[in-house]
Amino acid sequence: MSHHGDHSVTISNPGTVQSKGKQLVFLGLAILGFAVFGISLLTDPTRAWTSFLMGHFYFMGIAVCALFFIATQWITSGAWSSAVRRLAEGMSSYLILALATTVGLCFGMKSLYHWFDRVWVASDPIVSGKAGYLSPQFFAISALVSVAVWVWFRHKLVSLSLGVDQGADGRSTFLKSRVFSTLFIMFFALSFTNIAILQLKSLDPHWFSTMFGVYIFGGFFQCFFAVLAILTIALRRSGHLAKIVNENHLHDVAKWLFAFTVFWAYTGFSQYMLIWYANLPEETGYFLLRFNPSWELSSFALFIGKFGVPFLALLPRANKRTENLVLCAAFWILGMEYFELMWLVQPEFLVGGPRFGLTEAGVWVGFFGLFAWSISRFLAKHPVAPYKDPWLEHSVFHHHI
Amino acid sequence: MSSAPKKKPEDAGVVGFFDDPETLLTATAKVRDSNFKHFDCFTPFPVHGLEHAQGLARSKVGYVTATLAFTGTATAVAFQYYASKVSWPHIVGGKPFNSLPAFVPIIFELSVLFGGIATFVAMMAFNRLPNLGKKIIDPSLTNNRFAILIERPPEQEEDDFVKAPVAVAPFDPLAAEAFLKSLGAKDVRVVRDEGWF
Repeated sequence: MSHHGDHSVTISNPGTVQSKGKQLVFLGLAILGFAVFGISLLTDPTRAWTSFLMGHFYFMGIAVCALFFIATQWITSGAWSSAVRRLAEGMSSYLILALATTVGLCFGMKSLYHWFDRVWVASDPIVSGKAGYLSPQFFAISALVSVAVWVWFRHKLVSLSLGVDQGADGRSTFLKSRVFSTLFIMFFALSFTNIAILQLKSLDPHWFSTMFGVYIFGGFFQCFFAVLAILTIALRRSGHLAKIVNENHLHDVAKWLFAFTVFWAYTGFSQYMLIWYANLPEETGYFLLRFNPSWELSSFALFIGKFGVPFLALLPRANKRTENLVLCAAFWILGMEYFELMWLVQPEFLVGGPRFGLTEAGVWVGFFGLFAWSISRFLAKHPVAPYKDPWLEHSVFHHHI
Repeated sequence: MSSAPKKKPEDAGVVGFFDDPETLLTATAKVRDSNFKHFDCFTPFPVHGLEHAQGLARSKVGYVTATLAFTGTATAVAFQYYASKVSWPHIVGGKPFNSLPAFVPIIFELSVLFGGIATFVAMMAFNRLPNLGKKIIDPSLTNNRFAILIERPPEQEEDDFVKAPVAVAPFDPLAAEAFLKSLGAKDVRVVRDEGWF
C-alpha cells in the first residue's frame, strides 16, 4: 500500500545485533583457517599461496564492491537502499583487514607470479617490455596504496552515515557523501582494474585483456548483492529489520543480483569472443589452457552455473520476492564465484582440473572468519539501519508496481 | 458508434470525481471490497498502488515478452546454423562452419528485438490501445482530477462456480451515487454510454 500523503512517521532505533558468541566463533574460524595456511605453507607453498590469493581476493572484492554500492546509491539518490545501506557499510568494514591480507599476499609473490623471476623477465621478449609494470615494487606499492585509499574513503563515507544517527544533519551529510562517492567511484574504476590485473591476470604474464577489470568487477559486484540478500533475509527473520525491510527491498536486491548475473556473462563473453575471433597467439593461450581436456568441463560448468542457473532462477518476478529462493540463488552464486576464482587461478599451476581440498577449504574458512567477524562486530556496535536518515521513510514505505 | 442509436442510450454507470490521488486510493480500495464489482479508475498520471487498490491481477505482458524473447533466441540459432552450415558453408577466419561464439551477438540481438516488439504489441493489446475513436468522460481527467466509474453490470454474467451465465442483481444508480459521495467524491454524475475507455 502507498503512504504518499503520510510521511510524518518516525522510525524507531532498530537497535544493534548482539553477537558476542558468534564473533568468537568467527575469530576461531579465522585462526583455524590461518593455521591450515601455515601448515600447508610448510608442505606445499604454491598450493598454500594460491589458496591465500583466492581467499584474499574473494572477500576483498566483496568488501570493496559493498563500498562501491554505497557510493552508487549516494550519487544516484537511491532512497530504496537506505534500509539496507548499513549492511553494506558493515561489509565494507572488512577493507581494513583486506589491507592486512594484501600485505600478506606480497610475501607470496615468489610462489605465485612467474614475473618475480627477474632473470626470466629479462630473457622473455614480451614480458621484458612489461618489466616496469610487472615488478614486485609496483605490485606491492600500487596494491597497498589502492586498498589504503579505499579504507580512507570507506572511513569518510561510513562516518558521515553514522553521524546522522548521532544527530548530524541528513541533508548536508547527503551532499558531502555525494562528493566522496564521486571521487571514490573514479578512483575505484582505475584501482580495481589495476589490482585485478596484477593479482589475477598477471598469473599468466603474457596474456592481456582490457576487459579483465570490468569482468572481475561484474562477478564480485554480483557476489556483494548475494551477501546483501543473505544478511537482509537473516536480519529480517531475526526481527531486527522486520519493520524496515519488506519484500519490495528483497525484490530490488534480487533484481540487482539478476542484473549482474547478466552483466558478468556479458563482459565475460565479450572478452572471450574477441579473443576467439582475433586468434592472436598471446591472447588465445589463456583460453587454450582453460579449454584443454582437464579444464574444458569446468569452463562450461562455469558458464552454465554462474550465468544459466541464476538467470533462469531469478527471471520470474515471484521468485525474486521469495526469501528461500533468493537465499538459494545467493549461496549458489557465492559458491560459483569461488569456482570462478579456481578457474582463474589454478590452471596456471595445475594440470588435472580444479582442486578443492582441505587446504583450499581451510584457507577460505579463515578469510570467511575474518569477513564475518568484521560484519558482526560492526553490526553489534551500530544500529542495523540508518534510522534517522531522511531517505529511510521513503525506503520503508517502498512500493513496487 | 457511427450508426445512429436506435434506442435512447441508458445510463452506463456513475462516476465520482476526486481531487487528489490519496483519497482516490482509499476510495478505490473500498469500492473493490463493496458489492460493486464493475468499476474502473481514471487518473491524469500513473498512481502508485492503484492496481493493488483496484484488486487487478498482475499483467501478463511479462509472459509474452519471455515467450517471444526465447522464440527470438531459437530463431537466431536455427537461422544462423542453417545459413552458415547447411545452405552456404563458407570458411571465415579459419573457424568451423557452425561457430556458436560468432552467433551469440545475433542471438542476443534477436532475443531483444523479438522481446521488445512483443512487449510493445502486447501492452497495446492488453490496454485496448489505440482508442482514437473513443471519448473521455470529462476533460479534467487529463488535467487535475481523478475519477472512479462504477459501471452498470451486464444483465447476465458467467458464474465461476456453476460455470453458466446467471442473472446479476439490478444496478441501483442512486446507491452507487450515495456510496461514492460517502467515499469523499466531490462531484458525482450518472453517465451515458458514449463509447469511452
